[in-house]
Amino acid sequence: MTLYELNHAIRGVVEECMESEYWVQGELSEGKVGYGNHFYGEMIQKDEQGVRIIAKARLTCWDNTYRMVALRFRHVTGESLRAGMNVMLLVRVTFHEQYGLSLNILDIEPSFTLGEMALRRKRILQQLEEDGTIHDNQTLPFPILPQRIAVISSATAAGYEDFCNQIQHNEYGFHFVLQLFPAVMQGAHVEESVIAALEAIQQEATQWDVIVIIRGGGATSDLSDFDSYPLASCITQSQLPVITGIGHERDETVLDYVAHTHLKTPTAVAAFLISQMTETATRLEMLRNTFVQHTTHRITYEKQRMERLSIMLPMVFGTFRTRNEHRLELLWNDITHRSRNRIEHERHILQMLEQRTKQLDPALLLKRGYSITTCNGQLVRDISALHTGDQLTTHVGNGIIYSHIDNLEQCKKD
Amino acid sequence: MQKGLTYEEAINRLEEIAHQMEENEIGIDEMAKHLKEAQELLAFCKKRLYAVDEDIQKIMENT
Repeated sequence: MTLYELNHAIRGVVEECMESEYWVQGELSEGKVGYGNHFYGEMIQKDEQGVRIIAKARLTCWDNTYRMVALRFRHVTGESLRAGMNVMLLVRVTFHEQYGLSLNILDIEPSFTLGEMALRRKRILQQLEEDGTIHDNQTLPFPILPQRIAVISSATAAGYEDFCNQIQHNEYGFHFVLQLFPAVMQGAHVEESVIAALEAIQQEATQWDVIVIIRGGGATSDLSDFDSYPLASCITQSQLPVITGIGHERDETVLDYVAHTHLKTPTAVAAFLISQMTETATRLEMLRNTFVQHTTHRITYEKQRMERLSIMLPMVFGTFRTRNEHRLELLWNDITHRSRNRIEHERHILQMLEQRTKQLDPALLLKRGYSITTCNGQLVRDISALHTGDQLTTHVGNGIIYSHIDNLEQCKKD
Repeated sequence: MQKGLTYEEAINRLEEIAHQMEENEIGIDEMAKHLKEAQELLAFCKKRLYAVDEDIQKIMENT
């Protein structure tokens, strides 16, 4: 039996026994469009640990079918069919004498891949949450003047060119310093390439204000390239705020979740940076105006004050002597006036006392006709102290009368 | 009169004497002594006042 005869027999068995179409799921390990626009690839299945390959099969998809399913796949998932994806394929098992066993793709279920991608993204985000680092970049203070921009992009990308044009020809004339840190922005090498660029920037972090990660405008495929835990970790550890503009409308990648600010397109990133500068410039202008206004007011006030003082001071000092002289005069007048008053008052009191003393002088009473009688040198006030025969001495105004008592008669009391 | 007396201290003492006179707090025996003190203080204040005024005039002439 020849090999061909053997393979032909196998083909017959396969065609007879494997007539049906099968939905099969696995990882697309290879895939490319080759001769005749047909798709050629390989599908594998790994063990539970995801290390060892436990099944493998060749894939083919003919031109017409491939164009149709690839378009639908891209429409639903936003991605092109490529290696590393988990896929669910509708296949027919074929065996060719020359090429051997292969699975011919009849259809693809894009929602399966979409679900797988979403699941993967969710797991990465959960891990970042557990690490406690998911918001680290967002909590970095954003520079008030984001002028020194480290750009991670592909030099040939249209989005990069748009970004540079918009930044460098901004209508306000703000000066920006841009430097490209080239990276592969699509395909299997995105992760390592972007990480390398981020690490290069971190080496000279003091020279930059922000990091911008941008990708060609309009590109809507291969978002899952940015759903990478190592890449996301690298951003959370960055000392500089990261802004993303990786050109997609449909969904957010893990990169967008961890970045300080995420925008849809490179031009949106440029507009954002310019607006930050405008905001700062406006604030500065307001501060300047406030400063000028306050300074002008203060100078005017001080001028007026100076003028007022220059008029007032000579006036005040000119009248200084007069005012104080007047005060001294008043004080002196007050003191002398009160002294005189006080002396006058005391003199008056003395006069009054003198008058009263004069009125009580016995000589004055004797002159008026009163007399003073004594007996044995004692003033006679009480008749009971006298006796018949006692000698009395009576003082009158102009002499003294000596007499003897003949008789005593006491007055009756009322 | 105490040495090193200032204008303010002197005029305050004058005010005090005037107040004591007003309130009859000074006895007749003390009155002459206080009046003499007041007279001395007044002379001192005038002297200081005129000296300062002269200085001020000079300064203002030079301004």
